[in-house]
Amino acid sequence: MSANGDGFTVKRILVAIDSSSTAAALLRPAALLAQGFGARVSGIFVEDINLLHLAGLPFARELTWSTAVELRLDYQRMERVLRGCSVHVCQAVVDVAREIELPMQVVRGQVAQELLRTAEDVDLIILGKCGAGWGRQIGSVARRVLHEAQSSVLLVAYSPRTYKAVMAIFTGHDEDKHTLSAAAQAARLLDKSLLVLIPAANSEDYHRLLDSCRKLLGHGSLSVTYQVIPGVEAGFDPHRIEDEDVGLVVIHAPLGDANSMETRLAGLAASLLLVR
Amino acid sequence: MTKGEGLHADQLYRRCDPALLEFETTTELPDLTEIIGQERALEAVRFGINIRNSGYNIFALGPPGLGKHSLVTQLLAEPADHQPTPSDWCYVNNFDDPRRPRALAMPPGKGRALRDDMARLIEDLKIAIPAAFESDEYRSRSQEIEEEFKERQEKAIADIRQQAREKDIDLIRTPSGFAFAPMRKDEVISPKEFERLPEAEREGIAATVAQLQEKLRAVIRQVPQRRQESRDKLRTLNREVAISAAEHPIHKLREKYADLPQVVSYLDATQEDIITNIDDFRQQEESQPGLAMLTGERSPSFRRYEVNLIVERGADEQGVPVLYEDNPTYHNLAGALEHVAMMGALLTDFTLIKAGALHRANGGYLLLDAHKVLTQPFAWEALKRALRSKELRIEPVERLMSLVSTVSLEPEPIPLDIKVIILGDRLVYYLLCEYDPDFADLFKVAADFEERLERSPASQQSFARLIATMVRKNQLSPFDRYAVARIIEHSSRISGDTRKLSTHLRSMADLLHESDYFARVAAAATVDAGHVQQAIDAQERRASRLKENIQEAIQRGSLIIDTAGEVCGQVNGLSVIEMGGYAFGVPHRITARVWLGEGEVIDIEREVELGGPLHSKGVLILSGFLGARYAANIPLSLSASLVFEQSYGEVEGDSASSAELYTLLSALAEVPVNQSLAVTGSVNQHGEVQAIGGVNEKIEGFFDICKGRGLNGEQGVLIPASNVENLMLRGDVVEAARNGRFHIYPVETIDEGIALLSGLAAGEPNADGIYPLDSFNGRVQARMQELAQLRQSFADHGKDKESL
Repeated sequence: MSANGDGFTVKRILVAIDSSSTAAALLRPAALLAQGFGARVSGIFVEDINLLHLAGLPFARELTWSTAVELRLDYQRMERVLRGCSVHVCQAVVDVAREIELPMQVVRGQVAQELLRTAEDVDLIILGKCGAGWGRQIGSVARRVLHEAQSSVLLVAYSPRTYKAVMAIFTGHDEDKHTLSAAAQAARLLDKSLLVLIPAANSEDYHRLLDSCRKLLGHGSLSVTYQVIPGVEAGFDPHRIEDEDVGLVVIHAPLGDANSMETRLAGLAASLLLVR
Repeated sequence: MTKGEGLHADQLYRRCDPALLEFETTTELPDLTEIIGQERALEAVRFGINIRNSGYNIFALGPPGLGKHSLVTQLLAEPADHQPTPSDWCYVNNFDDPRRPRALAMPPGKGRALRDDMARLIEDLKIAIPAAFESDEYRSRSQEIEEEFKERQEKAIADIRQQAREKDIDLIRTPSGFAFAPMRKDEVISPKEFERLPEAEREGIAATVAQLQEKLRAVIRQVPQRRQESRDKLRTLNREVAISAAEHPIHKLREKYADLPQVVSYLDATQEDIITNIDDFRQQEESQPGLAMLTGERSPSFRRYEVNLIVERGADEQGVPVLYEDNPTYHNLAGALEHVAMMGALLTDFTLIKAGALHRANGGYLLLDAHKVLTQPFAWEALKRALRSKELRIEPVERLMSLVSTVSLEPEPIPLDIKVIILGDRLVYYLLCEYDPDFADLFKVAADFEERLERSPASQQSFARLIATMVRKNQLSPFDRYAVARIIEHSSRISGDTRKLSTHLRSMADLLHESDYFARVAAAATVDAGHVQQAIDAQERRASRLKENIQEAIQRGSLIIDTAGEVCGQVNGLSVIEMGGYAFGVPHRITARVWLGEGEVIDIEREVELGGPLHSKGVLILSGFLGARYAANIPLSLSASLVFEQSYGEVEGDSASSAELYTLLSALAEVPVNQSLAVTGSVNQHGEVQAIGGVNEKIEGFFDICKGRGLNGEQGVLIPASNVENLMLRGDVVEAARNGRFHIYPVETIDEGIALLSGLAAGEPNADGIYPLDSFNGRVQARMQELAQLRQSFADHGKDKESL
């Protein structure tokens, strides 16, 4: 992802797939963005070393998710399970990503660490916002990637609902111009409308920002709505976003500022595109 | 009566005097509204129509062509118009048991309204229900339920995770569940590191993990229950939304049909079904019928809300239905259940129920043709079953026969209130009475139609009006009174009785049409007697091929018939041949030979099994007559043989028995009989000549032969005196009689006949029973005695020998 100029472009995408059941949710935006930007995309599945460590502990037990049965864990079994998972994931990739070329690699290690290492030369990492079953909080892997990745990050929320809009905030700052461009591109490629929130202290501010915003977006087929947020420093109200049927929030997230942003986004069900 | 006279020409034909008909052409006559000559049948039909008890269905019997159908229809028209119109009938889905569709009776004309209302309702709901589920209200409420579930779940797990983290233990996801792992710097302690920990610490960690696991297990175990609670909440919400969307339009219908409790309960059931199957309405656009077929699922079908209107009374329909089912097959009569083929299977539902004639005529009258309903498989049994049970059940034939076991229905039976009128032959009626035990219970009224009516001036006038009515109805040219008179005469001839007229309406209609045809050919404005005669002659000619062949054979001598001279033991008998509704007379030579014997008369026809029982009976009567009259005190010592010469087929009937007797007597007396005469009539043991049938045809048959050879003024026919009333002879016969060229002799006794035939007086017996020697009977008696003596002498001769 290059930050030079106002244009938002992507040349290389890495999709981190954690299980076969969530592969489709990750690959669909990956394919659309890759085709839209003409980017190369590759996939990765990390066999979590933590699981193998855990399986080696003498007291290791596993509680199954739906039946609450307690199972003894051991190293060999965990290895078999992980191998099975990687086969399934690769198969799912073949099934889902038919129209694009998507080389997969399978590595073993600390998940976040391996992702960051592999993602050194990519512009965009796509990964699940959290492990399935963890609810809407940002998962530990996602959080670490968010904090440390050089590239932009798309955190996909595994919710089955369909949505209509992509949302971005526009304060008029330079980095926001870039974010707005990214949001517009994403909305166009994912075939959604765009909702721009404009924090403004008074109507004069609002109209100035609105004009600048319109100028940036130009005239296109994209359907855009604008909403004013009274007060410059007003944060997101997640519920308002849900009401507006927003499924993807695009936000400027420079390295090092991830903590404050994480708090602001807590409890939001939508997917997140963090542009840096 | 002496030879050479016979009946006067006026007795041979009873004319209808045109002067008695008080009109010039039929246009002057008003239509005949009443029905003539069928008083008995009329009374029966009226009785059958008006009596309300069950089983009083009507069988109208009589030969075809009498106008039974039109008469019954005419009689039904009036009561049918004045009775209240019966219900419309619909079949609707039975939501509790789709295999048993419900029958709904609707006031006449309302069935269609209900059907249309239901169709509109479903169309409306297809829009209103998805709209209700797309409303913001529904979406936010359903999301709220989902959120609540997720939040509770997440919070419970997050709490446990928090507790774990306080002890450097993390909850991590495994591919199939959760596990607790001791952590060092965000990484799970590897087994090697763990080994290096002091034992107490290791045990502590294991114990903590076990505790946490127990807590987690409790949380996870609650998941299904919470999921269920959340689903229940969603279902309740869906139901609320569905009710709010569906209730108002259904309630409007409920108000509209408030006076029909059956419909209201159907609407209630429909509402319940719509709410239960609300997803059908929500997902209608996404359903893929092709895919559903492949997976064997039935796509959400709105057919089940249709109303199958099987019987509909038109808005302009007055009174009760009068229906004639021309093709009473089982299904046309009792209704049918159609099937559609789907993926090789036959499927059906209540919308494929089809009404039969019994449904359509329910509440009114159904006319059926006996022959048709009896020849259609299962139709008669179905009709009886329906009448007996007083309800209409739709049962496919294949199920009746247990032939196939496709998915089928048992529609709710419909109560049946109907009067069935069957039209048929007498024979069919009598056979049914004899062999069908149910018949008498179900068809208690027999309307027996008369073929003939009394011929009187009044009835002739009515008959003329009937002709006028038919002429107008069929748009024929008017008939003048001479034509009408000729038709009346012809009708009398058809009935075979000068005092009767035929009520056979079809043959009369045919004659009217054909006369009209000849009038049109001649470009005449009115039909006169000549045209009628032409039509009659043409009918005769068309049918007379066989008659002419036989007559030709006689004229050429292939069939030997004498029409002049005198011969012993040989008499011209007369028979009638009837084929395809056309009858004609044919003369036959009957001969007899006599010889000494023991009193048996050999009927050669019977010996070769060509004589029917009635014919044999006639011949046996002859023996009785002979023995009693001429050989009461002496043994009957003759043998005789009797034969119809050149007869190669069956001979039946006793109408030639007088001719046979004359032949036998002539042979006995050795007195020749006049061959220019022909004889018909049966005879009894007392020598009285009795009436026979077909007298006109027989006379005309002999006349045609004589005429062909040239009438010599001697020729004629002996007929029973009691048949004089049946004489309606052809014009040329009457004319010949008037000119003394042909004679019709009415004969009451054998003595009269033999006198005419032989020219000898028959003779009266004296007190001792002895006839004068020169009389015919005297000669017979003398011959009998001679034979008896001869026989005696043979017997004596034998005795002598014995004594020797």
